[in-house]
This record gives sequence, C-alpha cells and structure tokens, in this order.
Amino acid sequence: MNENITEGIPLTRVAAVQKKQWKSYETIRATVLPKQEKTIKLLIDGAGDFLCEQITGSFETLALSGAETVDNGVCSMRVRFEDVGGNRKLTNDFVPLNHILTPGRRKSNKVTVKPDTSPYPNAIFLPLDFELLILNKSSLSITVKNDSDVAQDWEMTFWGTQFKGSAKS
Amino acid sequence: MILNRTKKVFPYWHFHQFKEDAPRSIAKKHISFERRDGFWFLLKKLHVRVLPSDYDVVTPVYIQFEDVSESRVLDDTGNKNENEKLGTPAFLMNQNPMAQKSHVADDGFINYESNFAGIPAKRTRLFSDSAIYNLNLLIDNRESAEGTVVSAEVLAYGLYIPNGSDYQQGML
Repeated sequence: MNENITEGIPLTRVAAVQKKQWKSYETIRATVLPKQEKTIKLLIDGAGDFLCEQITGSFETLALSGAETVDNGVCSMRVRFEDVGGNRKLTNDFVPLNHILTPGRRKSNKVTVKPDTSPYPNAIFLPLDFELLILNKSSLSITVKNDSDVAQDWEMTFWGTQFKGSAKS
Repeated sequence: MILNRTKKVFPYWHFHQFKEDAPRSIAKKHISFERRDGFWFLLKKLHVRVLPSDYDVVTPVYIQFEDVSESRVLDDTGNKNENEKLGTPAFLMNQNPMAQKSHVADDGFINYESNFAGIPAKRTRLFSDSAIYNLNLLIDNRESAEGTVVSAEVLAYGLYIPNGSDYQQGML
C-alpha cells in the first residue's frame, strides 16, 4: 500500500485489500452460577483466520445481602484464557475482570432491592490490547470463575481483522 | 507470510495479587515472568492497583519498579530534595483509586470494588535470552495512617515472540 500520505492511498487498492481482509469483531457472553467456573469457547469458523487485536467487555457486580441480591460494585469474577489451537495458556492465573475489561462494570436488572441505589459505574470505553491470531476452525477458551453467591453475567467483544483464507494451510 | 509469522506469537497476562504487608514500611514484591523455550517475552503494558486497608483515596502510598536484569530503577521522583519518598505516588499509577469495598473469595483471593475501569500504562521492555525475567515492585507505605496496610495487584500484558524475531517485520 502507498505510504506517501501526500499522494494518498488509491481507493482501488484499498478495495482490493478489502476483498481479502476486513475489520470485524466477535462477541461472546455467558452466565456463571454462584461459586462456580464456566468455560466457553469462542469458535472461529468462517471465511478464514481472525486476528484479534483488542478486547472490551462488561460484567455484573452482584452479591447476596441476606435474602436480597444487591449490586455492591465489587468485581467477583475472574477469567483465564487458553488458545486451544495453539495449545497455550494465555494467563498465569485467573485475572479479575475489572483489570482487563472496559467499559467494565455495568448496572444489573437482577438487583432485588428497590429502588436500586447502587453506585453508577464510571465506565470508559477504551479497548485494551489482546493480540492473538485465532486460526480458522480453532477457538479461544474462556473460563470465568464467579466468587459471588449470586449468578452473574459477563460479555466480551474481541476486535480485530478477519482474513479470507488461513495461515494453517 | 505475515500470518504465518504471526501465528507463532501469542499474548500473555501475568497477574499477581500481593496481600497486605506490615504497616508503615517498605515492601518489596517480586514479579516473575515465565521463561519459555524458544521465546522471548515482550512486555507491553503494566497495570498496578494499590489498595490501602483504610480504603482512603488520600492514603500516601508510593510505588517504584526495579528492572532486576538491568539493575535499574524504572520510576523516580523528580524532586528528591523535597522529600525522601520512594518512587511515584500510587494515585498517579493506580487504576482503581477509589476502591472502598472488598470481598474475600473461598480460596482467599480478594475481590475489590470496581467503579473505575483500569487503563494499563505503556511499559515496553523486551526480556530476551540473557535477561532476568523479574521486576521488583516496591511499595512505600511509611506515611499512611497508623495500622493501615497495603495490598497491591499487578497485571502485566505482553507477547511471547519467537526468540531472535524482528518485531517490526510482520509480527503484530
């Protein structure tokens, strides 16, 4: 591609590149039962490999207070990633979701105390780096541990480039 | 070709939670990255969260990193004549300065309040074959209130890349 910005990039060349690669994202979500772990897989099964570049996500911060479900703002979910295709662990330990996900904490409609006076999250959308090539028909394994007494939801979006074709072959 | 090289590269998160230390002291914590045969570790981001037990945002805690391999201090104050504080105020490097609540999980892990998203700072450092894969984190808690102890969490993000690679040419 032409790197001379004074001349610009010919759109015909951009169009040609876009036939082989385009910006894309993959979203995955799950509910984790109280005091349990849950593993789900982000499967890439499409036109080709997916080069993940960044990650965003959100999670609930629920707890039990007596018989009531409250949102106390404490992040009680942790995550571990594994690259299944490459057979590689991508974390040394479970990592608290509030370390790696933005916008991060979100308010929940599961709070049973009305009105819900839990604090608003000071959310900021700033995708964080997560650079991983996931080959076509391969997957990323995501294990989330929930330390809370309440079932909690999380969701993650993986931002990157979708390729037509695979480096596998 | 770029994809073929990229598939050998993989990201890694090193996470450590350091539990409370003695009050009014300087604690030295070791952060050890894992060596992997055939790979170097390219540290890209470093994220520190310091959590005083009094949950007070103005608690004066200072932190400093040391690069063990290079025997080098990575954070330094600009005004040593003004004080003898160690490193940088944690507030300036803290990703969640307002943590006011916590919960202890069944396995002893401490969950902290999360009202602010964490934004890791850029900390590029290549750990090659000859390097010691360690950083030290010093936590200066000497000025905090009586009885206040400090916990810390460190998250390092980086890439394992085949050793000898030229990162600029077709990695990520």
